Amino acid sequence: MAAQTWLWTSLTVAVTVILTVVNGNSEGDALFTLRKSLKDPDNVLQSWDPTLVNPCTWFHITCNQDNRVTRVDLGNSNLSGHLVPELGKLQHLQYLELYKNNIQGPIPSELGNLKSLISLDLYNNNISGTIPPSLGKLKSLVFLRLNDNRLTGPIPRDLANVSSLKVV
Amino acid sequence: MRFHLNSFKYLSVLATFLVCFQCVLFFVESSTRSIETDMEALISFRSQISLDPPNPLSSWNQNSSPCNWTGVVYNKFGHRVVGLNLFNLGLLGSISPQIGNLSFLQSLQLSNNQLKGTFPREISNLFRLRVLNLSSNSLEGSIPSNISNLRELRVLDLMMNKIRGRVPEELTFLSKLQVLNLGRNLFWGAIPPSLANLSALTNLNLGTNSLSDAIPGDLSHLRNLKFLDLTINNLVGTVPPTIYNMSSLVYLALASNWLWGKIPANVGDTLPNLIGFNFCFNNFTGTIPGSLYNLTNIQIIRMAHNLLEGTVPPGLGNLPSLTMYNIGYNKIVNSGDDGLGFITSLTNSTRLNFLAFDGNFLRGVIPNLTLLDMSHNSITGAIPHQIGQLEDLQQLGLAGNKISGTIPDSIGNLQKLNRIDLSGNQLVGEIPTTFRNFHGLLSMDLSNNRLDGSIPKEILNLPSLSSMLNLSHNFLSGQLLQEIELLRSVATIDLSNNNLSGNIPNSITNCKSLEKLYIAKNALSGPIPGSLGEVKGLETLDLSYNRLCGSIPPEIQQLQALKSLKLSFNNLEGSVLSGGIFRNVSEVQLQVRWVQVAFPTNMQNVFDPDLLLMEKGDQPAKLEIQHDCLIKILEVGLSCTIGSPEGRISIRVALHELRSVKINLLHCNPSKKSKQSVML
Repeated sequence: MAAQTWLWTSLTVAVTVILTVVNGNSEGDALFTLRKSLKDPDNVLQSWDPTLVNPCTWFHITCNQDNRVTRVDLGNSNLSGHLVPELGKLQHLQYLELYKNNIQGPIPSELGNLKSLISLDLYNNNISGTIPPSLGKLKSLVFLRLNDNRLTGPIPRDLANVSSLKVV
Repeated sequence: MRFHLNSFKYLSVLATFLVCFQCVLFFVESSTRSIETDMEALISFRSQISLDPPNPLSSWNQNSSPCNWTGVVYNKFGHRVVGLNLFNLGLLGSISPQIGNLSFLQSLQLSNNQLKGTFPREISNLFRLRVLNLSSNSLEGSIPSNISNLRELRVLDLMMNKIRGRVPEELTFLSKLQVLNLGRNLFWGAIPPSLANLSALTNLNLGTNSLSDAIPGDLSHLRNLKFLDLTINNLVGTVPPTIYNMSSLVYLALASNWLWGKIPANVGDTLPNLIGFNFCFNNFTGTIPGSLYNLTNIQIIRMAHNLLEGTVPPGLGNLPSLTMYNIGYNKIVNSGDDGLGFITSLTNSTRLNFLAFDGNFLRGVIPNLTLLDMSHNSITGAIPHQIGQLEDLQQLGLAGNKISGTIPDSIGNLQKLNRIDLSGNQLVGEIPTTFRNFHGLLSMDLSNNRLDGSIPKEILNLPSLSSMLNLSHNFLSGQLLQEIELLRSVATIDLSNNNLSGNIPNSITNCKSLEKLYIAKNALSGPIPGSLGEVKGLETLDLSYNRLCGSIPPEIQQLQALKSLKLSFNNLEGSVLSGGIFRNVSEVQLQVRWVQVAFPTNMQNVFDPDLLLMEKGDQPAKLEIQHDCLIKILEVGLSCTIGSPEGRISIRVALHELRSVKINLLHCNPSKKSKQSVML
């Protein structure tokens, strides 16, 4: 019985480790797609090397104990270009800080998939289009700051479902 | 003579017949496959592609001449399609099997699109194909076994798709293959040893798959191989020794597998052309091979996350092209008293931008470098002022060592710094005001040191700070300046366990991103500002163990996100609050309310007032003072009775609290002087 439990635990550990190693790379791929879509004259993203096993050593990225990305801190970094839907793959992302740049284009609706998101700060950019209703899925969101952009259209009703929202 | 003539005639007849036969063949071939079939194949290809705007194949229509169709390359005479260059076009759809009819095709480049569906078997009909590049798509299925028909193939690039199945042994027939790139797919099973027959191979990339079993030693037969990348797989076993003899190798990457064994000490001698060496995330044991430092052109040395031990071999200073050196998370130790002196020799490596030794057992003096993370070692000595010369430094991590002395002012020169962690050392002196220059700083942790002086307003003026400001567990004194409001983006402020005094500034209401505020265990006085009620994201507020007085501001009830509120061991008073977080008392550590509510008002009638006499003959203290005094003493008493040992206060804290009960009574409630300590 003990042997069986041991077998199952070691199997689970092995699978988790393998999955962590492989999946950690898909977060790096998503972030690298963001890098390719941004213009970065100050070379803030120079350390974003996609050949590394995971993005946890990249500057402006913070990971948790399991090497999953929890913070992207690129506020005030002189970036332009646009956001990419791949950002929605960062399932453990808590803080997406892209304020005070010159980012254009729409807010990808895939950001609604960031189920761990606590803070979405896109203020002071050149973002256009409408606020995607999918942001209503962000059940952990506390801070949503989209001010000083070129957003149009209505505020989606779905945002009212985010009961955790405190600072808008 | 006659014999020769006859055979000559025979031969010429045979030759003519053969030539005619070839012509007939050619004729037959061109009549079954011709420019028309090529056009049909192209049209069939287009039919499988989405033509939604922006239609990348818009030029592929009847009105435009086929010569002008995007990405279609014809041979010299213009009658057959020899190349299809449709990369980076965002093509959506699948690859039509009819592509196999483009029998003169030499180059098929469809990389970086969004093509789905399976890898069509019919591609194997393209027997003239030299370059097949389908990388960066979403293709599925597996490589068909008849891929062996592509005898002219030089380049097979299927990187970054979802192709599964085993790496086919049939690849062995592609004798002209130079580049084989199957990385970032879903291949499983063992690496077929028959790949060793691909004698022209220069690049072999099987990285980021699920390949298992051991690395086949036969791969060492690839005498022309320059790039070998097997990273991120499930390969097990030891590295076959013959691999280390592949002297043509320029880049060797086996990182992130389950490999073990020792790295041979002479690897730098047997692989003299090496530019990149990546063995991270395995279980390699033994010592770091010193011969790597003989490779003057080497750019990347990565061995982090293994079980390597011993010391860092000498000779590190001879590598001017070195860009990345990572030996973190091993079991490396110092060599004697030299400590980390070997690192100063790295100043010759001016291109070095990534250096990590963290998670080892190194001790010694800190040298000069570009990126620095030496956390959790046993480094002693002071931070040298030369650290200010590392102007490109973005992250400075020295946490968890035994570093002493003061923080040099020159650290302020590191204007590109975005993370600084000096926590858990023995640093003394004041926080330098030069920290004002950290224009891009995201996180500052100076906790658990012996820093004193006050918190300079310069470090409060860091609006870029976003994750953390942690100055806890030091000896900081003075007031909390109202400039704290400049920290608009920071999520966590921890100033606990210091000697801060004065009031909590009202301006703290402007710290709009604040989620966690810890200022416990200081000497703060005055009231709790009601303006805290405007910090809407506040989740945790710990102001316990201070000398705050007045009542708990009712605005606190408005904080909808508040989950943890600790205000015990202050001089708070006032009415019971019932709204907001106070509805669930178990989440709140107040003790004021608890004891106050429980304390019967007529308790004093049974209480011996002589016990509260400051001096014999003195008048007893005012009723309110008696009341407050008793409540506080009861608080201390009750804190000693908490069930879990961690929650209970220590004797020293209890004595401290009891003494401060006396002192605080004099502070907050102007009353008679008291010369003697109360008999308690």
